[in-house]
Amino acid sequence: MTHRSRQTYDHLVVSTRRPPVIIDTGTGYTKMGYGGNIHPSYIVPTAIAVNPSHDQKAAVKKKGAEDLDFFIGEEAIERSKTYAVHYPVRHAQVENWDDMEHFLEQVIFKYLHCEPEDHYFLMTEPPLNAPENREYLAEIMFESFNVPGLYIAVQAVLALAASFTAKKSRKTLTGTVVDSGAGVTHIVPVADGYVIGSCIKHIPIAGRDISYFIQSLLRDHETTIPPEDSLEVAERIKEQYCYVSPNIAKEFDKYEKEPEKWVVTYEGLHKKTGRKWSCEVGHERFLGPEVFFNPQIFSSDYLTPLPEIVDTMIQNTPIDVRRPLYQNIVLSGGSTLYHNYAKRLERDLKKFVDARIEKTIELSQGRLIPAPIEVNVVSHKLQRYAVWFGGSMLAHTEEFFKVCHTKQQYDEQGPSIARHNPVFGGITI
Amino acid sequence: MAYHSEFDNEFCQQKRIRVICGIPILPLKTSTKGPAPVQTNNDNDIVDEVLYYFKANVFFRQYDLESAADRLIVYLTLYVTQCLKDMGRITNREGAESSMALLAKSQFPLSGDGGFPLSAFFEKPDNTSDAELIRSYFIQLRHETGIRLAQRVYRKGRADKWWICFTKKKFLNLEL
Amino acid sequence: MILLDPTNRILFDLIVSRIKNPEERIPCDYLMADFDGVLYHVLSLKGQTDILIISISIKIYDDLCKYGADSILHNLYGENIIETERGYNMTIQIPLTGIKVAPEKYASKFARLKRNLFSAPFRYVFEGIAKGETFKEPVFQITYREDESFFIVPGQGQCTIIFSMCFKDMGDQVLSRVFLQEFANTQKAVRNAPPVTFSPNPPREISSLRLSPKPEITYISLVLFQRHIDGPKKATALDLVPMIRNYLHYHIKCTKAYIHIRMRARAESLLKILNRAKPEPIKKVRKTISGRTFRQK
Repeated sequence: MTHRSRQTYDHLVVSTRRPPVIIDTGTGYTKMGYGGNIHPSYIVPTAIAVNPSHDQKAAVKKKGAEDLDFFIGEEAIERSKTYAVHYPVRHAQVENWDDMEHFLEQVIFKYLHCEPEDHYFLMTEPPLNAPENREYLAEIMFESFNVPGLYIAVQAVLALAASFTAKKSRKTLTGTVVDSGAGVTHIVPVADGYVIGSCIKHIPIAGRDISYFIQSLLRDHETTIPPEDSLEVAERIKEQYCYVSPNIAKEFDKYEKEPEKWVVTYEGLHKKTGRKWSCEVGHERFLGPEVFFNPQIFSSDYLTPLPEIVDTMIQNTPIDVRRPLYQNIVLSGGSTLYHNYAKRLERDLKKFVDARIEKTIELSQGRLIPAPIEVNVVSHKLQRYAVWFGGSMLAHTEEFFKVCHTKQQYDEQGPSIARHNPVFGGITI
Repeated sequence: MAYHSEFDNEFCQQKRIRVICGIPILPLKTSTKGPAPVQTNNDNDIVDEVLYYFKANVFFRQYDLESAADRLIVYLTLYVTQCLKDMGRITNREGAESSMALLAKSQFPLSGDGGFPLSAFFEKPDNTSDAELIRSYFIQLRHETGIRLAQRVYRKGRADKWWICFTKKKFLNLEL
Repeated sequence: MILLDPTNRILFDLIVSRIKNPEERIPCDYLMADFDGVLYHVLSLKGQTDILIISISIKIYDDLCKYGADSILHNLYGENIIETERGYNMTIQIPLTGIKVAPEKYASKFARLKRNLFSAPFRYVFEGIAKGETFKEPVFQITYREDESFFIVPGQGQCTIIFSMCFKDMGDQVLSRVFLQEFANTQKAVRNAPPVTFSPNPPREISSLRLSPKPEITYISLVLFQRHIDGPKKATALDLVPMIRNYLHYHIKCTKAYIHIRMRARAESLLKILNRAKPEPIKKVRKTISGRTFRQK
């Protein structure tokens, strides 16, 4: 029987002999599983359904275990009619710590089915996270769950580590991470494993907006979609059929001339009646993801295309890291999975870069001819949960146990041990 | 980025196109009478361009004029939306074509008249002969656009839903 | 969620989804954990993705086998057992095609592997009591965690089960005492409940083992009579009793989480009061009706 060699942690303390737990809580989905594995065990929506008659915030005397009457993930969404569904994470930041604590309770005891006192934990945080949030997280993990060790990782650095699996990767911890999830898109420059905090950009366009756009486009020409499911249907269609096109006018023409080749039929079932319905999906296929490259087709307040933001951001970074940042642009997150996304980003970015070089040559009247700048967008098979995978690989190394905050440190010094994340260098943000 | 016309200022200079009040009198593949020079070959003319770019351009909320011909793109894109509104009610091709012919000749405001939504893009004509020339050119453009649009929308007999769904989209948030 | 599920959910979902969706049968090599120091190794080999191979590692496997775990395993999983993987205690092979029962029922059997193994000594004793056997050993002791063990003392028509639980954290010790007191008080609330007692000293039933009391350790003993472990109740008892330690720890953690929630709500309300307590800013520049300006220094 062939099996890859399992790292034994036998020479270390008890809890380090067991696989660490990796939890990546995003705005849309939470990825959870054990370290050392390639795929997370569960990818569930970051949602929690509480019984509305048991108001959590009321400081009323409770007799029973009403606060345990809640569901998370898919089970929460299924009960959206009878329970009140909350989303604890908005725009990548945790907004409701009560809900987050309950969410983690069920993640650990119901889904992962393990004793938290026996495992080290790796949790992730978004870029531009306030140090207070790190403290709150440390408080929950050490005090409520008694974890022996905790490491709070920056999502961008994990995504970079995950990109080492790609063929094109240069296996360096210097690069630009384009992390596009359900709620928000972040562009984070990382140099030698350190995040250049002042240059982080965020774009309010992400997976959910694309779903809304597709929903409104479908509404214009399809009448068969049941209205209460229309957003869910738009999301399925987005995941199954959308792709990025190099030229939308040409695509429109293709769809008009050969509809049988491009227009797809989507079939669904009425939730209540069970009857089948079907609808046609046409230009939504390429217009959805086009929002990244031309936001004005969807949003009236946000107009700058993604490649332009990446270019402007890199131009704002220290001059010596700019070339490496262009050379290693890493994608992560579910909303970067569209076919041809990497190619289009690369092409549009090259246009900006080449235009700038030409301008330099023109302005210097031919005296300055800079070397051409190589633009490289790296995509790989694990983009959907690249952050989780990066965490899993990091937790599988020996150094991991040394860089974690331990319960002993927490008991001695308090939550402030988690305040500073070494990845941000000497600057405490 | 939105799509711009190929018939840019360089092209107009090369082919010695007349430009009146910033509007180039580009050739058309048409048989109607008017100031437009007749185009004999089968290359794309300005109306073909508008129809090709229409579905893409209509989503944009901002549009920069890169050349004089872009003014025509803007105007005709809005006109196409107006035509589609009419076609929503018509089920067959002949009905659409006659409706389009009527619409082309109907009263419509131009730059200098009240109620013209694109006064920011266009200049006012200096004298009445210019204004009349522009008006007759526009009638030709509208006629050609309407007819060719009807041909495409009713290619299969009934109105194609992939065109009619654009009735509610407002290019630049304007309408004629 | 009040009771902990003895079934391992990850294994259950993995097996069910792979049976129902053939496209999910990709080669994999996962390491997973469960309560009580159990590790699973889940393998699906390239070219043989219709079979799932699960290996389980339990520290106390040999002890469990002493008390009949072997025969239970062979009864339930006999046809699936294959050569044990190095570093693990047992390996089973699960075919994912040609299944005649509902996928959920099929998966449940394998997801309860740990539960079946763990409950073996209890089952051995319960079945013995039901048949009226006498046991050779007066006390069964199994040390399933570093500092914690459970003891089963069989008797005539009843058995006493003692858990020694270790609470390292001071706060946990206090909370545990409150919980255990509630357990002990259930006798009054629920008739026919098994009597529960707890103390920091080893109870008299296991005094023969001469265990020294430690400050972090509490002993909980519950007495199960025949009526608690008869017929269909046996399965429920086997589900719940071995998991008592985990159940208790789970609820202690939930209580701490609840305390956090109350603390946060309180802190928020206090902050609101504090904000109201700010003095009003003194207006430095005032004007009268006639237009004269006063400036306060």
